[in-house]
Amino acid sequence: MSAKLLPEHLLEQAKHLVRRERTRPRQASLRRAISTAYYALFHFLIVETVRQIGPNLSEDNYNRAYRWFDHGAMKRVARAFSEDVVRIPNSKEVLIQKNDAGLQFIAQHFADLQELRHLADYDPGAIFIRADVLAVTDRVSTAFLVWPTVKNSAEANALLLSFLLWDKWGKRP
Amino acid sequence: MNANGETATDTQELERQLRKLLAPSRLPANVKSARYELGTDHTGEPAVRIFLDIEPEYLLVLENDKAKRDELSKYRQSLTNQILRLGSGYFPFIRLAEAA
Repeated sequence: MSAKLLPEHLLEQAKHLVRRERTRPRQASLRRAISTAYYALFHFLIVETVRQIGPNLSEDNYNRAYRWFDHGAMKRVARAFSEDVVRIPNSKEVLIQKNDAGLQFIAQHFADLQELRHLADYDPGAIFIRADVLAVTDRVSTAFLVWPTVKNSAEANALLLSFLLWDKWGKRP
Repeated sequence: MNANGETATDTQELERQLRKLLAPSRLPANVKSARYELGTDHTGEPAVRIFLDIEPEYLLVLENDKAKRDELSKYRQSLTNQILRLGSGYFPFIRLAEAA
Protein backbone atom coordinates (compact mmCIF):
# COMPACT_ATOMS: atom_id res chain seq x y z
CA MET A 1 0.00 0.00 0.00
CA SER A 2 1.30 3.44 -0.86
CA ALA A 3 1.94 5.82 2.03
CA LYS A 4 1.43 8.89 -0.16
CA LEU A 5 -1.96 9.81 1.29
CA LEU A 6 -1.09 8.70 4.81
CA PRO A 7 -0.17 12.19 6.15
CA GLU A 8 -3.50 13.73 5.10
CA HIS A 9 -5.45 10.78 6.47
CA LEU A 10 -3.59 10.87 9.76
CA LEU A 11 -4.24 14.59 10.14
CA GLU A 12 -7.92 14.03 9.42
CA GLN A 13 -7.95 11.33 12.12
CA ALA A 14 -6.19 13.63 14.63
CA LYS A 15 -8.82 16.32 14.00
CA HIS A 16 -11.55 13.76 14.55
CA LEU A 17 -10.03 12.58 17.83
CA VAL A 18 -9.64 16.07 19.25
CA ARG A 19 -13.37 16.73 18.71
CA ARG A 20 -14.50 13.16 19.51
CA GLU A 21 -16.26 14.16 22.74
CA ARG A 22 -18.64 17.06 22.41
CA THR A 23 -18.10 18.56 25.85
CA ARG A 24 -15.44 17.14 28.17
CA PRO A 25 -12.69 15.61 26.05
CA ARG A 26 -11.12 12.42 27.33
CA GLN A 27 -7.39 12.63 27.95
CA ALA A 28 -7.05 9.44 25.88
CA SER A 29 -8.60 11.18 22.86
CA LEU A 30 -6.33 14.21 23.23
CA ARG A 31 -3.24 12.05 23.69
CA ARG A 32 -4.03 9.99 20.60
CA ALA A 33 -4.78 13.19 18.67
CA ILE A 34 -1.32 14.58 19.50
CA SER A 35 0.42 11.36 18.61
CA THR A 36 -1.52 11.05 15.36
CA ALA A 37 -0.82 14.69 14.44
CA TYR A 38 2.89 14.08 15.03
CA TYR A 39 2.85 11.04 12.76
CA ALA A 40 0.99 13.05 10.10
CA LEU A 41 3.87 15.53 9.97
CA PHE A 42 6.54 12.81 10.31
CA HIS A 43 5.16 10.85 7.35
CA PHE A 44 4.58 14.06 5.37
CA LEU A 45 8.26 15.01 5.63
CA ILE A 46 9.39 11.50 4.72
CA VAL A 47 7.09 11.35 1.67
CA GLU A 48 8.44 14.72 0.52
CA THR A 49 12.06 13.72 1.07
CA VAL A 50 11.77 10.42 -0.78
CA ARG A 51 9.78 12.13 -3.56
CA GLN A 52 12.52 14.74 -4.03
CA ILE A 53 15.58 12.50 -3.83
CA GLY A 54 14.13 9.52 -5.70
CA PRO A 55 11.20 10.64 -7.85
CA ASN A 56 11.48 7.60 -10.14
CA LEU A 57 12.05 4.85 -7.57
CA SER A 58 10.17 1.59 -8.00
CA GLU A 59 7.52 0.98 -5.33
CA ASP A 60 9.72 -1.62 -3.59
CA ASN A 61 12.68 0.74 -3.43
CA TYR A 62 10.45 3.66 -2.43
CA ASN A 63 9.28 1.55 0.52
CA ARG A 64 12.87 0.63 1.40
CA ALA A 65 13.98 4.26 1.35
CA TYR A 66 10.95 5.21 3.46
CA ARG A 67 12.35 3.13 6.33
CA TRP A 68 15.69 4.98 6.48
CA PHE A 69 14.30 7.81 8.64
CA ASP A 70 14.85 8.11 12.36
CA HIS A 71 12.83 10.22 14.81
CA GLY A 72 15.83 11.37 16.86
CA ALA A 73 17.90 12.34 13.83
CA MET A 74 14.97 14.25 12.32
CA LYS A 75 14.45 16.12 15.58
CA ARG A 76 18.12 17.20 15.71
CA VAL A 77 17.77 18.53 12.16
CA ALA A 78 14.48 20.24 12.99
CA ARG A 79 16.07 22.00 15.97
CA ALA A 80 18.89 23.28 13.77
CA PHE A 81 16.49 24.44 11.00
CA SER A 82 14.35 26.25 13.57
CA GLU A 83 17.02 28.96 13.70
CA ASP A 84 17.53 31.98 11.42
CA VAL A 85 21.08 30.80 10.73
CA VAL A 86 21.54 27.03 10.28
CA ARG A 87 24.94 25.77 11.40
CA ILE A 88 26.69 22.57 10.37
CA PRO A 89 26.74 20.12 13.32
CA ASN A 90 29.87 20.17 15.49
CA SER A 91 31.26 23.02 13.46
CA LYS A 92 31.16 26.80 13.34
CA GLU A 93 30.46 26.69 9.60
CA VAL A 94 27.16 27.96 8.30
CA LEU A 95 24.89 25.78 6.18
CA ILE A 96 22.22 28.44 5.60
CA GLN A 97 22.89 32.11 6.23
CA LYS A 98 19.26 33.27 6.11
CA ASN A 99 16.70 30.55 6.65
CA ASP A 100 13.26 30.69 5.06
CA ALA A 101 10.51 31.66 7.54
CA GLY A 102 8.11 28.99 6.27
CA LEU A 103 10.72 26.31 6.62
CA GLN A 104 11.56 27.54 10.12
CA PHE A 105 7.88 27.24 11.03
CA ILE A 106 7.74 23.62 9.83
CA ALA A 107 10.99 22.72 11.58
CA GLN A 108 9.97 24.38 14.86
CA HIS A 109 6.64 22.65 14.81
CA PHE A 110 8.17 19.26 14.08
CA ALA A 111 10.60 19.56 17.02
CA ASP A 112 7.83 20.85 19.30
CA LEU A 113 5.37 18.18 18.26
CA GLN A 114 7.84 15.34 18.73
CA GLU A 115 8.36 16.45 22.33
CA LEU A 116 4.60 16.74 22.87
CA ARG A 117 4.06 13.32 21.32
CA HIS A 118 6.61 11.88 23.74
CA LEU A 119 4.70 13.38 26.66
CA ALA A 120 1.38 12.16 25.26
CA ASP A 121 2.62 8.61 24.77
CA TYR A 122 4.82 8.14 27.83
CA ASP A 123 4.05 10.63 30.63
CA PRO A 124 1.02 9.49 32.65
CA GLY A 125 1.08 12.75 34.65
CA ALA A 126 0.77 15.09 31.67
CA ILE A 127 -2.57 16.87 31.28
CA PHE A 128 -3.65 18.09 27.85
CA ILE A 129 -6.05 20.90 27.03
CA ARG A 130 -8.30 20.69 23.98
CA ALA A 131 -7.58 24.27 22.85
CA ASP A 132 -3.86 23.46 22.86
CA VAL A 133 -4.33 20.22 20.91
CA LEU A 134 -6.50 22.06 18.38
CA ALA A 135 -3.65 24.52 17.94
CA VAL A 136 -1.39 21.54 17.25
CA THR A 137 -3.61 20.22 14.46
CA ASP A 138 -3.99 23.79 13.10
CA ARG A 139 -0.21 24.05 12.86
CA VAL A 140 0.13 20.71 11.05
CA SER A 141 -2.50 21.91 8.54
CA THR A 142 -0.51 25.13 8.11
CA ALA A 143 2.71 23.16 7.62
CA PHE A 144 1.02 21.17 4.82
CA LEU A 145 -0.11 24.44 3.20
CA VAL A 146 3.23 26.21 3.57
CA TRP A 147 5.32 23.34 2.19
CA PRO A 148 4.40 23.74 -1.53
CA THR A 149 5.51 27.39 -1.35
CA VAL A 150 8.98 26.52 -0.02
CA LYS A 151 9.69 22.99 -1.23
CA ASN A 152 11.74 23.98 -4.28
CA SER A 153 14.02 26.37 -2.41
CA ALA A 154 17.69 25.72 -1.71
CA GLU A 155 16.87 25.75 2.01
CA ALA A 156 14.19 23.06 1.64
CA ASN A 157 16.59 20.88 -0.39
CA ALA A 158 19.13 21.23 2.43
CA LEU A 159 16.50 20.36 5.05
CA LEU A 160 15.39 17.18 3.29
CA LEU A 161 18.95 16.01 2.62
CA SER A 162 19.77 16.74 6.25
CA PHE A 163 17.07 14.37 7.48
CA LEU A 164 19.21 11.55 6.10
CA LEU A 165 22.72 12.97 6.02
CA TRP A 166 22.95 15.57 8.80
CA ASP A 167 26.34 14.46 10.11
CA LYS A 168 27.84 14.38 6.61
CA TRP A 169 27.75 18.17 6.11
CA GLY A 170 30.87 18.63 8.21
CA LYS A 171 32.89 16.05 6.28
CA ARG A 172 36.03 17.32 4.58
CA PRO A 173 36.98 15.95 1.14
CA MET B 1 29.79 24.58 33.89
CA ASN B 2 26.92 22.10 33.40
CA ALA B 3 26.69 19.03 31.12
CA ASN B 4 25.62 21.24 28.21
CA GLY B 5 28.76 23.33 28.44
CA GLU B 6 26.97 26.40 29.80
CA THR B 7 28.15 28.45 32.68
CA ALA B 8 25.96 29.73 35.49
CA THR B 9 26.31 33.19 33.93
CA ASP B 10 24.87 31.95 30.59
CA THR B 11 21.88 30.43 32.38
CA GLN B 12 21.40 33.54 34.52
CA GLU B 13 21.39 35.71 31.40
CA LEU B 14 18.85 33.39 29.72
CA GLU B 15 16.62 33.54 32.79
CA ARG B 16 16.91 37.33 32.88
CA GLN B 17 15.80 37.47 29.23
CA LEU B 18 12.97 35.00 29.85
CA ARG B 19 11.65 37.06 32.76
CA LYS B 20 11.69 40.09 30.47
CA LEU B 21 9.93 38.29 27.60
CA LEU B 22 7.30 36.80 29.92
CA ALA B 23 6.65 39.95 31.96
CA PRO B 24 2.89 40.45 32.50
CA SER B 25 2.94 43.68 30.47
CA ARG B 26 4.22 41.82 27.39
CA LEU B 27 1.71 38.96 27.44
CA PRO B 28 -1.32 38.86 25.11
CA ALA B 29 -4.56 40.10 26.67
CA ASN B 30 -6.01 36.68 27.46
CA VAL B 31 -2.88 35.12 28.89
CA LYS B 32 -3.18 35.57 32.65
CA SER B 33 0.42 34.72 33.48
CA ALA B 34 3.39 32.78 32.15
CA ARG B 35 6.01 30.59 33.79
CA TYR B 36 9.02 28.68 32.60
CA GLU B 37 11.14 25.69 33.61
CA LEU B 38 14.67 25.01 32.37
CA GLY B 39 15.56 21.39 31.74
CA THR B 40 16.03 18.97 28.89
CA ASP B 41 13.81 17.51 26.19
CA HIS B 42 13.13 13.77 25.90
CA THR B 43 16.46 13.22 24.14
CA GLY B 44 18.43 15.08 26.80
CA GLU B 45 19.02 18.33 24.90
CA PRO B 46 18.53 21.69 26.66
CA ALA B 47 14.92 22.82 26.71
CA VAL B 48 12.87 25.59 28.23
CA ARG B 49 9.24 24.74 28.91
CA ILE B 50 6.92 27.70 28.93
CA PHE B 51 3.37 27.54 30.23
CA LEU B 52 0.87 30.23 29.26
CA ASP B 53 -1.87 30.28 31.90
CA ILE B 54 -5.30 30.93 30.45
CA GLU B 55 -8.68 31.26 32.19
CA PRO B 56 -10.99 28.23 31.66
CA GLU B 57 -13.65 30.43 30.01
CA TYR B 58 -11.18 31.66 27.41
CA LEU B 59 -9.96 28.11 26.73
CA LEU B 60 -13.55 27.34 25.68
CA VAL B 61 -13.52 30.38 23.39
CA LEU B 62 -10.29 29.13 21.82
CA GLU B 63 -11.83 25.72 21.22
CA ASN B 64 -14.50 27.27 19.03
CA ASP B 65 -12.70 30.17 17.40
CA LYS B 66 -9.89 29.35 14.99
CA ALA B 67 -9.09 33.04 14.38
CA LYS B 68 -8.40 33.49 18.11
CA ARG B 69 -6.26 30.33 18.15
CA ASP B 70 -4.34 31.71 15.19
CA GLU B 71 -3.72 34.98 17.06
CA LEU B 72 -2.28 33.05 19.99
CA SER B 73 -0.26 30.86 17.61
CA LYS B 74 1.31 34.00 16.13
CA TYR B 75 2.35 35.08 19.62
CA ARG B 76 3.80 31.62 20.34
CA GLN B 77 5.70 31.70 17.06
CA SER B 78 7.10 35.13 17.81
CA LEU B 79 8.09 34.08 21.35
CA THR B 80 9.77 30.95 19.97
CA ASN B 81 11.80 33.02 17.50
CA GLN B 82 12.81 35.54 20.17
CA ILE B 83 14.03 32.76 22.46
CA LEU B 84 15.92 30.99 19.67
CA ARG B 85 17.61 34.27 18.73
CA LEU B 86 19.06 34.50 22.23
CA GLY B 87 21.36 31.69 21.06
CA SER B 88 21.29 29.91 24.41
CA GLY B 89 20.92 26.42 22.91
CA TYR B 90 17.70 25.93 24.90
CA PHE B 91 14.79 25.00 22.64
CA PRO B 92 11.44 26.51 23.69
CA PHE B 93 8.40 24.29 24.16
CA ILE B 94 5.32 26.44 24.71
CA ARG B 95 2.07 25.03 26.04
CA LEU B 96 -1.24 26.37 27.22
CA ALA B 97 -2.29 25.64 30.80
CA GLU B 98 -5.48 26.27 32.71
CA ALA B 99 -5.08 29.23 35.06
CA ALA B 100 -5.74 28.28 38.69
